[in-house]
Amino acid sequence: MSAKSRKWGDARLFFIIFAFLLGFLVIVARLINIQIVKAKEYESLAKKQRIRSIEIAPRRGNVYDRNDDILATSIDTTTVYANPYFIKDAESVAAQISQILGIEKKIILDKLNKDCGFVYLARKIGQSESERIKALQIEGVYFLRESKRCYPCDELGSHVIGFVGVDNEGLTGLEMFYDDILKGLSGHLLVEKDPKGRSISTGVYELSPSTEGKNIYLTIDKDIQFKAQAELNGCVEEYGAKSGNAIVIKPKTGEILAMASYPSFNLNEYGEVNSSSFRNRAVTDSFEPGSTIKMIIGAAALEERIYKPSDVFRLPSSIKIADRLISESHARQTEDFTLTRIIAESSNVGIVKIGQKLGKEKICDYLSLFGFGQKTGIDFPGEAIGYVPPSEQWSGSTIGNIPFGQGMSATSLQVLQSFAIIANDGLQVKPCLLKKITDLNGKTIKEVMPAQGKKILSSSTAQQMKEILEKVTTDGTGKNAQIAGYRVAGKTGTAQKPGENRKGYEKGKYVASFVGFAPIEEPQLAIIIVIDEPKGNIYGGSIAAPVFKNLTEFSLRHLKINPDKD
Amino acid sequence: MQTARKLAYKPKKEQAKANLRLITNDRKRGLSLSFLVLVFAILPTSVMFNATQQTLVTQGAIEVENLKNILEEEQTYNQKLIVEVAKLKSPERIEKIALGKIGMILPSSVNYLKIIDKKISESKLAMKNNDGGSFRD
Repeated sequence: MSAKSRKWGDARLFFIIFAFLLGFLVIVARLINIQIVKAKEYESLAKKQRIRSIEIAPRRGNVYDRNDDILATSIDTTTVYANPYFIKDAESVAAQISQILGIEKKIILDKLNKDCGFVYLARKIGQSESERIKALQIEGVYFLRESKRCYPCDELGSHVIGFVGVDNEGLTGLEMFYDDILKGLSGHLLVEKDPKGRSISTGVYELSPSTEGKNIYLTIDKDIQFKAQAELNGCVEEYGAKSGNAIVIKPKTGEILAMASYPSFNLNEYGEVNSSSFRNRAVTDSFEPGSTIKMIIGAAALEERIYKPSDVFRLPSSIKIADRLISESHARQTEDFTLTRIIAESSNVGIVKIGQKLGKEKICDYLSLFGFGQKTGIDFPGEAIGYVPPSEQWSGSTIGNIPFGQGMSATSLQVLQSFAIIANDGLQVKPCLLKKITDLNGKTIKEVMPAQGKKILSSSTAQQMKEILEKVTTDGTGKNAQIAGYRVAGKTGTAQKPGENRKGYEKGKYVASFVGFAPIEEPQLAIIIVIDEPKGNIYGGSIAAPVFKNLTEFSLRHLKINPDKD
Repeated sequence: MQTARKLAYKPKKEQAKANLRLITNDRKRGLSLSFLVLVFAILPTSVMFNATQQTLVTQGAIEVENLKNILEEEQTYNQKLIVEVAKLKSPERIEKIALGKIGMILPSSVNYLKIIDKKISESKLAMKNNDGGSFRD
């Protein structure tokens, strides 16, 4: 072998070694890049691929009435979802599932043709449907447990309880107000999955458990609530009224035993009714209260010692205030009225005279003291405050309006609260719907104690007013509210409805109401009935008082309250 | 002859050393053999043990999963029963059955009987006299 060829051979060997070395270096560099430089990035990508985080929805707390009867609870249902990438024959899968669910095939097919790894096919379906879909054993179709809100009593207390959305978030009523307490906190489960999405039992498993929602117990009494709704519905339908509402409260504690509104709706089918039916009108709607306000004017006059119940007034058939002529609802001649009779027979002229003597400042002060023009503070969303014109905005005729409840507005709850003050010997308590909060095992976490009452009137004035209000049911406009065996106090209201343009009043449109309490000696219940736009008969004493009577009679018997009349 | 004798003769010390070397070599060989046997015995045993353990763990996990499913099903069933009971207790349903099926009617009027307890009446009377007559019965 010549030296030249040996040299060439060495060069080739060197070249091959160099090429191998270079190749090796490239591999080493790539390995360093993968294992060290981009290690974290690839690690997280791998984790993303293998490890799935599953949100564990907490169980929403139940809603109970005051006697531990369930008003709202949650049941487990099945949600069907799919990974469209794993669906082999979308057409046939869509056909099979749509047939079981009774949904249009195109809807399912559109979902299955989406370019993503997760689509809901049907949420919260029944057990039979889910079993039938499971039996098909379709690759790429999976099942998830989700809880669904269920209201066993359908319409009962629908406006108060409210309902939740598809993701179990409170949308109306107490479901919304106490959403933070009821919903709990979501947990997370980290699991390692195989390429087909199945859990690897020996793989990564980390559980952050969800915190279950708490139960709430309401002050509502299911039976009284049912009676209130039945009586209200009957009355509204009988008189062809537009709407109505009723509240039953314990005057001493402010606990609301029933709160009903018409039109009502089924909580399990809330999607099928007009959203205006969802309003809890007793709290969210204000109206001109009419003659029920006469009680406040009378109480103010007694408290200020301007008049006594027996003071006599010579009342003409009508009275002119600025440009307005105030007359009675039923025409009469000039007559002598005592203060008691003015309220018992609901004299507009008489109460305006008392109002004139009190003066606008005192009227405004007492309306404010009784809680008008401000929130009652009830634990319910969307409470209206009503409207009382400030004294500086009063026109010459306002003094002839406000004393009998015109030119101002209030919610049913505000009117009822003002009567509860009289029933409670001058003490004002905040109305409430929540009685207690417990955990899922029933252990009490918080008990709502009635707030300390605020003294609004002296006991003697309250006592005098009780006796005057009793006269309303014995000799006055509210005779239909009398209950055998019980002494009942109350006041009727028949108010014209203001026009849409806020000028004048609409002809033939009235709000009939009755508010009262019983038994007078030791009042246990205060109740208001409001009927909006009744047809034919329009008077509170004829329409609302009988409903008050039936509801009060039932409630007194249900609560086993002894009669106080011989 | 002498050479043969020399060859045949080995001093006692050297003989003992040679014997010892032979024994040590034999022991070493025996130890390595037993080590090998041990390794070949332990390794499969531990592998088997590990495999068995893994199988048991997997089986246990599957069983736990199954039990969880059963528990969830039972809980769902329990919830359904609770809802069912609540539905059966619905006043609307009870009233419908009472009025429609059983033929019950709402009372037209209720009469209350007043039972006078002498002791209570006397104590109330005494209170009335003390309070200046504010008590009403």
